[in-house]
Amino acid sequence: MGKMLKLADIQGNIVQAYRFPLARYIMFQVTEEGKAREFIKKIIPHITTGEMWEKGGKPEVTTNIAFSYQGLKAIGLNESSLRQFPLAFAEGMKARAHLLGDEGESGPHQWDECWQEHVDILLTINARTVSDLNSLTEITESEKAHLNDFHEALKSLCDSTGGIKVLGQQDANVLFYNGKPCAKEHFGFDDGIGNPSFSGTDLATMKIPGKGKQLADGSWVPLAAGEFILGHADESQAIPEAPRPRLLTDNGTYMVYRKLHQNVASFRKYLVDTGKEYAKTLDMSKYRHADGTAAKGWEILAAKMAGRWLDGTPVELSPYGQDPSIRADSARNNDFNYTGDKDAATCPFGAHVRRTNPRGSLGFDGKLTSRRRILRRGLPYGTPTPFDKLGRDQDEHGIIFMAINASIERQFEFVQQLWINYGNDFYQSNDKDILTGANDGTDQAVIQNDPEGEKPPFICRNIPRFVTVRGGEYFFIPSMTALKLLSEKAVSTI
Amino acid sequence: MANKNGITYGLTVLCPIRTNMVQGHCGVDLLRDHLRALPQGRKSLFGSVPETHLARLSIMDDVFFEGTVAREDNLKSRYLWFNSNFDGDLCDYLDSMFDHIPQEIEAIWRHCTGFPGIESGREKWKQYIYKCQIKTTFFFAANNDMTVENMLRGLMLKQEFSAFVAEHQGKDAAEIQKEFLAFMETYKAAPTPARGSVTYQFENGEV
Repeated sequence: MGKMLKLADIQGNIVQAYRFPLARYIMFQVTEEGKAREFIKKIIPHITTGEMWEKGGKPEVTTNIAFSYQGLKAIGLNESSLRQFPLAFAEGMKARAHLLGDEGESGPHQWDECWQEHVDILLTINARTVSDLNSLTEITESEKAHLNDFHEALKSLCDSTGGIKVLGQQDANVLFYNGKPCAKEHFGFDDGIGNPSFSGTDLATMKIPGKGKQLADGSWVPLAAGEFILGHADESQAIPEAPRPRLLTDNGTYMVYRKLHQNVASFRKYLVDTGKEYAKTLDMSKYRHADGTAAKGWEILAAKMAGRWLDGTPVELSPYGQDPSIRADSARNNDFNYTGDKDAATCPFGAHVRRTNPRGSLGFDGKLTSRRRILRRGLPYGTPTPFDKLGRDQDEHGIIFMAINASIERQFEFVQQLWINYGNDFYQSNDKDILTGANDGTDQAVIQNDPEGEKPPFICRNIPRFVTVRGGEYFFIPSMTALKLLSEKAVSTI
Repeated sequence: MANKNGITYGLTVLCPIRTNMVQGHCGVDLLRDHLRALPQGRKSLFGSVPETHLARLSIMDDVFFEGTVAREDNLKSRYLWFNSNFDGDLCDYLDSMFDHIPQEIEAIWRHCTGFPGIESGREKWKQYIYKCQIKTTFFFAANNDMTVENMLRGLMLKQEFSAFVAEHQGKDAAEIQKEFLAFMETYKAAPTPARGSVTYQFENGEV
């Protein structure tokens, strides 16, 4: 067993996801340096760490704190440390808009009001519902009591110290479809299935096939912890450069926060219209879900776009329909690497999950993929649209995308720029990801067909932008040690 | 061959820049101003030299030693660094430059020591470049197995063909075949897109 991570020093929701149904993200700006540090000092005892909870010991509420580059500067971090932060983080998300494809409606000038200013501190509250989640049919305000109570306490704390002002807040929560809570996002896909596993813990979830990296003998092992936690060796077998002193960044990490609005009506309309055409290119008699019902053209199209069926079953393992037995089996639902699907006849090259995690597709035993992984820790916001309704694009619904990585440039930005908004690595020329790419209504993308068969590949035409950006920033999540140093202005490189 | 990668030639030329003052201006400043004002993209002067894949002109002011202990080791002069990847051999390429952009050559290289002037004729121009050439050795050519002409026609075919496929999706096979034959006729007749283009559509004729 390798080096163990010091979970009590790492903030919570990084090594292991909280899996709470409710979240509130509060965006602050620093108005007075000294008082802001006083606020940080007072919030430290409430910050949740990555320590494991005893059985039954899961708290009602958790809190975590992150800082943008401007935020670190605003609370008085010394210049010599500040200057050593990586360029992407220092510039911030708005300055990287062109690289990320955040243009047009997704451009920073169109973002929500609170993101028009510089957000210095992001405070995250996660909470459980008052009643057992599975007994609920929807989330009512009274079910948010733990969250609201903690938020009230936080407000008093904030009032007592001063030095920071609230720019805005964002609520997020699990969605209910047909009166039941589930892992779905607004387009209807089960989400958050393929998060990577990494070394440094003895968690059973870190040993699941398909979630780490694959060795030459076919076995799966966790990725190096340094891909996600600073101060540890990464997949290049080196401890990456980080701002000094090491205490400032060790056991910290970077988080990409993006508010992604989903154009539900456009997506569903496109699926229904294009799905009819797509079905004509398929031998529909083959497409049956495990329960025997026929898969519809739009469902197959959705699955080919995502690389997973709506219920999360991987297309690679179940090409002709959903199979709850695979979906429910964590040892199987990630256990594939595309090496047997070089023509992409089963899972298209351009499918969302194949683009964002190409596994063995790029050769070199998956090593090229291992350095581009991210941990996703977000939740949806807004009210879901029932499956039999088209919904409306303009309603307030989407996903709060939170990606954790040791290098914003190498991991998140690379995936966004070269794998989502470009396709050359997958022989897809300049086609973009259908689901989340910066398409503009004139784009097209190819869904491969079986090269042995007689049916042609299908071209999706005139793809609009289904997901637009409404705000976001790059944040640094300090370790507990670093948080104390920051609150005392005790970071020194001398 | 140190200067060849596949069928692509890699030319590297270092021409010393004149040190004398011209009407109160230093030669290197005049050259830098001139290079900075050169048009790019479709209007690039190398767009008129049809064999060119990629070309670059820059000024090498000096070499700088980084590290300790600092060492002074200066160049004897500043150099114009001319770099180009192209189809064919060097002799033909220099002819092509001479034929297509003589005035532009004059406007650039007149700032360089030993440049004989375009009026001295093409052989003198070629001899001058041969004299200033250094071996390129390992160089990167994005496409080292195709001529510029083939690349441009290939890109045009790719762009138009993917549009054709999308537009004809689901149509009757006989109809697709008929229209595809017409498409190929249009492709053959279509002029090659201009050098420096960013879109590669048929410029005349409809499919």
